[in-house]
Amino acid sequence: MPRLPGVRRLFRLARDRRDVGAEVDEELAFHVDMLVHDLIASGRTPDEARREACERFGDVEAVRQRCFDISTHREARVRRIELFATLGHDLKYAARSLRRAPGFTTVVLLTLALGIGATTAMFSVVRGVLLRPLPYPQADRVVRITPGGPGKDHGTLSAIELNDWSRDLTTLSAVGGYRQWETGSVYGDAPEPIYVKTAHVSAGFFPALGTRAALGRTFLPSDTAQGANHVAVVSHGFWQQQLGGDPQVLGRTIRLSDESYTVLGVMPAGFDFPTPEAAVWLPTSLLGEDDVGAGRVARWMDVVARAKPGVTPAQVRADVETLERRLAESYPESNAGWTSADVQEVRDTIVGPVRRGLLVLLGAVGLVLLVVCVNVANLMLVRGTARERELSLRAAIGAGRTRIMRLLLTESLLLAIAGGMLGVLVAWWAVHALVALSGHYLPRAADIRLDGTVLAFAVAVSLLTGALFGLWPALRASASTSSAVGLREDARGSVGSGGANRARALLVSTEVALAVMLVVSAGLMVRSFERLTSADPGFRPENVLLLRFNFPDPPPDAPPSFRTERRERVVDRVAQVPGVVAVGATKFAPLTGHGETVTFTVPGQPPKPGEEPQVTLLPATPGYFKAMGIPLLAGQDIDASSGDSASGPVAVVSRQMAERIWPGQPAVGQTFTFLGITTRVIGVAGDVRNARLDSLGGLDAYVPDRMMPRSAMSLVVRTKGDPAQMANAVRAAIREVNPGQAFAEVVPFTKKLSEAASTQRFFTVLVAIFGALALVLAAVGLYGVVSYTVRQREREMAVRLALGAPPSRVMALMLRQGMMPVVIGLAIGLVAAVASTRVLRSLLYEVSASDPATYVAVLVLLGAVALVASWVPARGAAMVPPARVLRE
Amino acid sequence: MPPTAENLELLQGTLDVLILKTLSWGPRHGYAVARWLLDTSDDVLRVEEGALYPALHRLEDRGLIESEWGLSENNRRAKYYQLTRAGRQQLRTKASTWSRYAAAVTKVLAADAG
Repeated sequence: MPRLPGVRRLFRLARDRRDVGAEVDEELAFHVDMLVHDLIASGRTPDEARREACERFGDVEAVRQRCFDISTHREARVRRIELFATLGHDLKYAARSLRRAPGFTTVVLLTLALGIGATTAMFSVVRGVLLRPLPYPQADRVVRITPGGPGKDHGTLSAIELNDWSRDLTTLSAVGGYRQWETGSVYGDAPEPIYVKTAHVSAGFFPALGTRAALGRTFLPSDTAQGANHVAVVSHGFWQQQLGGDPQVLGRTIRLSDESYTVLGVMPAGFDFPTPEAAVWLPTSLLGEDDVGAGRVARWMDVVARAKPGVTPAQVRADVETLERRLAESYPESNAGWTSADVQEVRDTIVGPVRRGLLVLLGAVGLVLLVVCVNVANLMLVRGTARERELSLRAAIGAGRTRIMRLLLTESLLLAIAGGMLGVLVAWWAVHALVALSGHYLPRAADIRLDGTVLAFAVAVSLLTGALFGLWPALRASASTSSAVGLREDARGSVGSGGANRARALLVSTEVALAVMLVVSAGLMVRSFERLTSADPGFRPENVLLLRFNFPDPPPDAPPSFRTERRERVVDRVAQVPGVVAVGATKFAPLTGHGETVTFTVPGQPPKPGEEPQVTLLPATPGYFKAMGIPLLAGQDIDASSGDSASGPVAVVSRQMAERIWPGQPAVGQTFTFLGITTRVIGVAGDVRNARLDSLGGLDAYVPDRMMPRSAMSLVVRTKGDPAQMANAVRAAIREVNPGQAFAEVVPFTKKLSEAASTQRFFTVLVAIFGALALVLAAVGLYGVVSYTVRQREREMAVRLALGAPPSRVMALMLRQGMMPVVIGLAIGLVAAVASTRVLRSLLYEVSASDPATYVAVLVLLGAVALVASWVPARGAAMVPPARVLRE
Repeated sequence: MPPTAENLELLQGTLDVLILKTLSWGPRHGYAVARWLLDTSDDVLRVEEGALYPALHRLEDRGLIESEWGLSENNRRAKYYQLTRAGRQQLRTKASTWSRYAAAVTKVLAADAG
């Protein structure tokens, strides 16, 4: 067992590191010299004596080495023991002194736990979403390629061109095309069939991603050949939930939307391309002309590819664009203008939309942590001043400056580590809350967790925090312990040293400035969110039930009118359900999907080449406007006869379309032509936020459902009472017409609206929380400092009061002292906020990043909070009976 | 150096106990330890320096003795060793073991045949 160094050693004055080698040499030299000395004394000549001594000693070098080894070993061990002994002593001392100040310790630990917890939680979100690689081998080589060109925003590829790409592109090792369907396919039977998301993928899809099947295999070229292609690869989730995790699943037949497929493979858990809901992958060769069109004009595939090792996205882009230009020359009728491409790492395409928001949040939480550090440093400083006497005493009885600093730093580190451990608990809870708050609208939310890296981050943050808030107070305290000063000052019971006061004022200013930045950001975000959610969406979502489903394909021998008649029957049947006020149908109700965008021409307005206007077409049944609550501004509604052979093609256009295409003249009665169909405008409807909540619709045209009977259907049902209560009755009514109809979504429209704002809500709530935290922390810090100053100057104030100064004057004095650093902090914070909130610009909706109202409100709010935080203790100073203070 | 009648090579472990015994009268430096052993054993126990110093360092490493630099009788800096509590205890146990062992060996060697 290693023994503690002897008592002697503990009392020995500190000295430099022992030079073991020199000591051994000196010891052995002494021995030899003594031997020589004795030999001479016994009659040898000096030469003889030295020779004999050396002979007797034998191999000096060997002896020296052995002694050196033993002693070095011992020295290292002793040092280690000493280090742990002092560390243990320091820790014990720190723990004891913290226990003696339970109020201080509690406040500090809570503050730290909040700061470290919030930072750790935010980091785990950023790591999970932005940093963690996607689960593909060499994921950085997997890219999404979006073809484009001037005025082209489809960004998809025809099947023929995909073949050109996979044959001719030299920078890629695999190219895959895919198309995921909005609603998916029906799986299972009555009473409750479900929709599963299917994606049709080309042979290169799986090689591009590089993921192998967990069971069985993915598609081979032979699987995708015509006739052999009723095959499917299923997701791990689908296999578990729908196929019971059957280990014999390979070769089993599954039925999707009345077609049979043989299961070839099961993908590993976590494989979720192109979307997390993807359940079944089918070969693209199953899709015919009816589904996707034919030829090079039929662009319908998204592209994912694997770059060859060492190839950059820019090189891929150059390669693709060269090929595209060649194709545009060879096939001008289909490819003219498609000459550019966007190449992005696939992770960026998934998390790109939230990257800035998350980084802003990480920055905000970093500021909160900084406020925490400043606050704790402030408390430590106050405590350090209160302990000046104790520390001076320690210095007086011989504790060195480094020793005192080490004591104080140990205390900080102990606090930081304890705070960090509490912080991890907070983070653990907060991560769950964050994921819940984000809903499934934050991409990769499933990848967010507290793992080793995040814990290591928490430890690093705790230690850094401890150093940040501990170092300065420790330096200050150890510097001011030139014993005489400390002891004398305290004995006189006067104000803390001027330096300490300045330091506290500086910290308060910093804290206030940081709080201004955070609260301004929070204010801007809240205002923006409030504008976004209170903005008129262009329809009335209250009391509307939304049902989304795919209309079954008509039987092969059905007449062309079959679809239209069936749809009319569904709408009519639902209209008869008691409690239903209005019913209408479209392909995609607002905020549920993109309409079909086509270019159009207007008589008398020849388009500039490449700048043909585009209109988004939406089919609508009679009653759709009424059910959705979209106002009709001019002309007439779509009715039962609209679009039939008598009326010819007609449309109701959006107000924007009316005003932009036919400015200054009535739109009703005008015509426009798309896909060769000349359409007459019969009405003008209000603008609707169809695609996104934050953009008012563009050029939209609603055409009678019979002009474009799509299988995807959004049925909107306006009800008298709570729409959720009506869901079952409406579903049953639809199934009377379409037996066994499956539903992709049945939801009150208000919920849809709230979901559309969920990403903004996520950011807003978090920034608001961070702002509130900063505000509270700043208030606590200020309160602490002012009440401390008041206590320090109690005697002085009592003297002033006793000499006849009015209490209001005394209070004003204290207030002025407290508010001075606040005002400085507000000014600095204002400038910093103007500079820093620019990063918020892209996250804000209809609020300028330098919105004056927000800034004024924040300054007033912070000023008021600061005033209260310093007024409470200042009033205490003025209320104290002077006699009592002076007697003490 | 081969063992002779005059300077028996010390048995393993024996040197340690002899050093501890030497130091039981107070701090000494290494040379004094060797000197004292030689004198006390009537010049029979000549300790090899090659063994003495490593033994001293080893004993210090085991916490049985501790060292401190001091001034020698001729005013030179010398490293003095002294027993620790543990060393004193070790000496007591080892000395009694050794005495019993020596007595037993002596008895065997002195025994008559039969």
